[in-house]
Amino acid sequence: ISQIYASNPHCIFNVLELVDKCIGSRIHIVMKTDKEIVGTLLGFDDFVNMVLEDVTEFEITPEGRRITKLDQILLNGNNITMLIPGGEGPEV
Amino acid sequence: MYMQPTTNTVEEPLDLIRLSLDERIYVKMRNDRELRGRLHAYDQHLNMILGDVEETVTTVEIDEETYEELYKSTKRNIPMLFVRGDGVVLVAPPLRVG
Repeated sequence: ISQIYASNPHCIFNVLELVDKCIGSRIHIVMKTDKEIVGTLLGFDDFVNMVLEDVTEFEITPEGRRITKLDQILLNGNNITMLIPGGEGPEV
Repeated sequence: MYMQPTTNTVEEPLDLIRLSLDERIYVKMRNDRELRGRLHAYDQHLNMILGDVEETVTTVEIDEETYEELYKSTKRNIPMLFVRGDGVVLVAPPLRVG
């Protein structure tokens, strides 16, 4: 891979490699629906399904309700819209 | 994780996006979201990494009595984020006003 980087300065960087750098840190996930999830990223796969720990789930309603879950979750990547590394979640 | 060597000509639609690497772009997404930020990386699914981003979410509130539509937009700034490609509707250079 480093040979390809050296010979092609204008390479397309693998987007998932940058997500890989977030493993171990807090990450804020925005879903397609009015829901956001904040947790510590343990891992993910090619489909961007994610394993998270110490998770807080936010429902984006006029009241900004919060549900806290601990342990680990497997989040289905189908409904993810954006990932924000180091994010703390929506302002409540 | 094989990186395809790139050419300098525009041959397919994704090549147009390649021209915007490291430039500021405008991304329109599903669910009334828009992003303006610097394009750091993308792939064939249109997953993208954007830096220095302004996100705009537009909502419509309908008044119960008058049935008037009130359009509101909420903006927030995010230093770095990953966008999942299946939510992307269009990618363009930033809109210029005036």
